[in-house]
Amino acid sequence: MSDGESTATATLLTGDEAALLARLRDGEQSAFEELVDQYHSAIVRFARLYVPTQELAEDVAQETWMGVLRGLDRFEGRSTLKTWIFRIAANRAQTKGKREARTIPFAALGSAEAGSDEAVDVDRFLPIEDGEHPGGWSTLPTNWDEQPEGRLLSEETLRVVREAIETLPPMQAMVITLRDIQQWASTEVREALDISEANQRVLLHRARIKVRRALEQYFAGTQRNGASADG
Amino acid sequence: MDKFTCSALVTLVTEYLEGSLSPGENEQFEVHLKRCPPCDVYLVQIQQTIRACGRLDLGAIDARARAALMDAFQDWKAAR
Repeated sequence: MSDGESTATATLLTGDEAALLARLRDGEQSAFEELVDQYHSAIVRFARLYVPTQELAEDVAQETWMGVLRGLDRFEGRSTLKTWIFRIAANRAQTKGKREARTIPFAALGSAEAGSDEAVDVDRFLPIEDGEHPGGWSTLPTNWDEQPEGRLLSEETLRVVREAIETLPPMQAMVITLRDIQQWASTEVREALDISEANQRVLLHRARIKVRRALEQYFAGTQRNGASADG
Repeated sequence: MDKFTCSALVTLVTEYLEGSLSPGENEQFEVHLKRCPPCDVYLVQIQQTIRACGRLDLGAIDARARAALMDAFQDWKAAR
């Protein structure tokens, strides 16, 4: 934003969001349904970063929607609707999380993950001192397009992806969920999770690398088992 | 000169896809990619991984929870 201060409509809302907001304020239930269907599951997932059980996360999501309704008439569009909703969710989740002894502080989660598991995938490469091909591949990646027809997007493959994401550290799982499942922009993820651009990228990188590796292992396994596994 | 080793390229792949490499790094990345089929395969795998993620969904909200929220919406509407 540059010199838009003087204009009354200095809003960060996208056109779609502005239209949705207008319908909400007109009391159109279908607009609220759209919003809930779009974000509820992501809010529950998000809340799980702060609270220890799925049930509490569902409570946080319910409270978030109450907060959204209460704040709707005062919302000025200084952030996107999405960011605003997730800020409300963060507040509710933190409040609830503080009441739960087992909750790990949110910021600690993010920074601990950013510092750990540096050595992802390094075992795949020749040492940097290698005379022939320093830092080159020791085990070549195989072309997945050679997988049997449709294998790449089969239900089974998607199950492997889903399970790989579930085993990621919480912040990595959250970032890849918002970026690659929910297709949010990086700035939206950064704002919702209150993390830096660099941290967002590192978390996304580690998450994608691990999911890729899970797929690679899965494809290698099904290849070795050959036709019998397909039949 | 090819500054990037294959192992270095792998660590930069997300920065490349995010468009956050400097123009110089970006060029070197692409130069390496052109000369190195395995790294090209790797990049495609990452893109395929992203596409596979894009086909997942988080599941729908429980019908009763959804109905309760719609009741709350009607209450909110009535109270304004």
